[in-house]
Amino acid sequence: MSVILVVDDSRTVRVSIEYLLKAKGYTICCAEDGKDGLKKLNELNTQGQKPKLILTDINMPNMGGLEFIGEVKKSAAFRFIPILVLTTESQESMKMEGKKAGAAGWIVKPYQPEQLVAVVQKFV
Amino acid sequence: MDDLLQVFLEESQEIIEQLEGDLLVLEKDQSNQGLIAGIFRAAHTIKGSAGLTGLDDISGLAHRLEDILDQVRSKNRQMSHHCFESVLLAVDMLKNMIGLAGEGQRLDSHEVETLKQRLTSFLTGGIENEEAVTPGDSSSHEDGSSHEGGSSPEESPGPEDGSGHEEADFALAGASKDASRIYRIFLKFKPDIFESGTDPIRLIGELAAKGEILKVETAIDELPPLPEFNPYRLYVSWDILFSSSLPYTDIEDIFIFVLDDNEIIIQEAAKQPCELSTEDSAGQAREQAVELPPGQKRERAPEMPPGQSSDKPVVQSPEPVAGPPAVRKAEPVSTIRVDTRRLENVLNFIAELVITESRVKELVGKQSGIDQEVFNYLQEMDKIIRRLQEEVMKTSMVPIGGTFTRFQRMVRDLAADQGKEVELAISGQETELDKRVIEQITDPLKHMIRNSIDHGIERPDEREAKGKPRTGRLSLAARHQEGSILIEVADDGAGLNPEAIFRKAVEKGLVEENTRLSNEDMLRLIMEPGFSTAAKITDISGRGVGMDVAATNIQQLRGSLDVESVPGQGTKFLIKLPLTLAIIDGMMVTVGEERFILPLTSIVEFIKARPEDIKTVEGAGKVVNMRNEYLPLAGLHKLLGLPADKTDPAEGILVIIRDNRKKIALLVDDILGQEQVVTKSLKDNYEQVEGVAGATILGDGRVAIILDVPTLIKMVGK
Repeated sequence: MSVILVVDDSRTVRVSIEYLLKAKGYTICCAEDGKDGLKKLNELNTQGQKPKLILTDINMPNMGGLEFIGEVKKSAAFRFIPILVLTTESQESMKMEGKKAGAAGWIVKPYQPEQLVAVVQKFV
Repeated sequence: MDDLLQVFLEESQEIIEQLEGDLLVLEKDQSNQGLIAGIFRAAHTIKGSAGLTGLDDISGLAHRLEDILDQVRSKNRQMSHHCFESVLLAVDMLKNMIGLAGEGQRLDSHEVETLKQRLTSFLTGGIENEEAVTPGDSSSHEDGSSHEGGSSPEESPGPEDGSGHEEADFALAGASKDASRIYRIFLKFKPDIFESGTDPIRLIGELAAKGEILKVETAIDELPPLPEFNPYRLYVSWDILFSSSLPYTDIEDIFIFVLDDNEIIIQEAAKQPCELSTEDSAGQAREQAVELPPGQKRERAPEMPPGQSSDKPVVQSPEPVAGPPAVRKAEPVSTIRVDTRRLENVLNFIAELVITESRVKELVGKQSGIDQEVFNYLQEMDKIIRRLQEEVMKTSMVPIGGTFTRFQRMVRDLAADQGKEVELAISGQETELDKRVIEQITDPLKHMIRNSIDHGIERPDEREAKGKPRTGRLSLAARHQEGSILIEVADDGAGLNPEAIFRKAVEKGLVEENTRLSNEDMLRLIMEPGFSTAAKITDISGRGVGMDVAATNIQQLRGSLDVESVPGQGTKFLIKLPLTLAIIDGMMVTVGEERFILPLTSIVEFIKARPEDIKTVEGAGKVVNMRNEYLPLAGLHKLLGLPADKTDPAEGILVIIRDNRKKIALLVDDILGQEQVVTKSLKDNYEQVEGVAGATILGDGRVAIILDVPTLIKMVGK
């Protein structure tokens, strides 16, 4: 059972990703922002369910995606978890920013279901 | 999953409204790049989110639309009139499908397919051609053909082809199973690639799944001696010989995330003659790459700046970098969607809070020697609650602009249908109204606009003969006025003839021939049920509903409808609406022990009648003579069956209330004053009670009934 952490402040995005990936047999854990994401990571870790992949938005309140990626990459426990940045069409530059921060790739919102699944399957 | 569908429905309805409005602007100026980009994105978003929601038929049709708009956008082609009509039809169908999706239904797939084919034929035949080309032999490719056929080979598809192109490739891949190509792939990742969570073996695995790995050579010469070996670093590189039927771009897609900062070289070594794919930018890159010896830092073809074609599989439609921003009415605001029921709950609680607070205030006022500090804080709390109430009210307000834009299309179609030229001028689209009010005002507005085009605005030659410009002008305007919203629908057409209207009303038996009416009242006759000037039923509403329905709808919103007209110069409908439905401006009156609220909008005046003004008419009950106008008179106590202090009309107070053109005098004991009250529906607890619109809780905790004027007037008629 592979756990995927989805960090996005938009409920629609979380709901849709959860729906799509659950259907593919993944277990989804959702967080609303970077801070929440770190919290969920630690919670999962203590339950012995370290996520296999993290999807994170960039623009979020409290702690944005880039800072979140930075924090994850700093942690010995989580630094090898691949992270995909959820960007939108207007945030072209964010793909590279995300990569610089340590993300493994990106998903552009809105995505086609099969595209999301295809990208996730690259990593999990 | 219903949640997601709900989100999609709301979102797509908004998008499609905008899209339709933009398309109509585009019709006049097909070179407006910003607009095209916006329209393209709208179609694209609908395609994507419909796909997400599992509405494949909607997604498919939106995809066609997107393909056509892409040609306009990237190739600077102009849509022909017929092509444009088909695009509008597609928008209509999308709307229809989205509406049906909300009810869990789907449109007849044959209908959708027919339109899709028509759009496809424009893609193959050229969107600038007037006639669609019937798809011939190319139709065998189904999905893919439309796209490929549409783009001429020498024009490289932009990155925004994204998913469309991908689908095309899938289709082609299916069609060309035997056409295998040989690729040589060199992979040398950064030593710290693991840090990003990327596992090169997974990528090679993915490659293996897309074809056949013929040979792998692993270069291990960079491996350090064991003591220096760091398991978190990558020391090896690979040289792979690979066979696949997939095109270059698909192979490149596997490495999309690592192309930019690793040495990834993909060369197409050889391919079978069976070439189906058109040359594209990837092809150019491929040729360039072949020149490079392995091991050398890979350079991209100049036609493909980073972040363009390499992003293909996931990128939906990035904005063209240099493209001007889409024309939007307002800057996008960050929003969240909230269930309206939840909002209503919040509104309700706020209302309760206001009521409780005023009760506390009243109690505190009664206490003697109240602490000044308590009193100050109470004042402060009062202020905060008022502001809170205002803010919460605002949350259910939406700008009317979306509704207005929707009419552009209707005006265009209706005018074209009748051979008229009509220009629609819109103003005040930012004016905000309660969402429920907007929903219910749409139909009345539709009727008025239809009326203006059907009966108001003349044919171009007719107008010219009258010395007017050929193009008629219809204006829709909204604005705030004294705590209400005013919406104006005005035309510069023939205007209404009060005499003719009066004669027609007499003919229809709506009014006695010897009735004397002011010009204004004659005009109001058009809002009388049964008065319909429609010579023929136009297909906008599909039924010949007259102005009376519009007037009734507005009345139900506690608004009012007025009409002004100057023969030969035009007609103006004036709709006055309350800002919100939750709060009502009322007049509190008493009958016996009970208190009632009469909505201010339906009160004409109060009179204290002299005994000689009150007459009894055989079979018609009592009437009161108000400045030579005889109005039916009824006691509120009688209508509701309550004991009253004053049963003699000359003793009590007569409130003249109006529903459209009908006025009556209502006898009440006393008037307590004007009050803003929060309405509470009684429907949940009682059946609909005749004459009662709702109830409210007063500051002292007592309940007052809010009266429903139209039904009261009807009750008097009986």
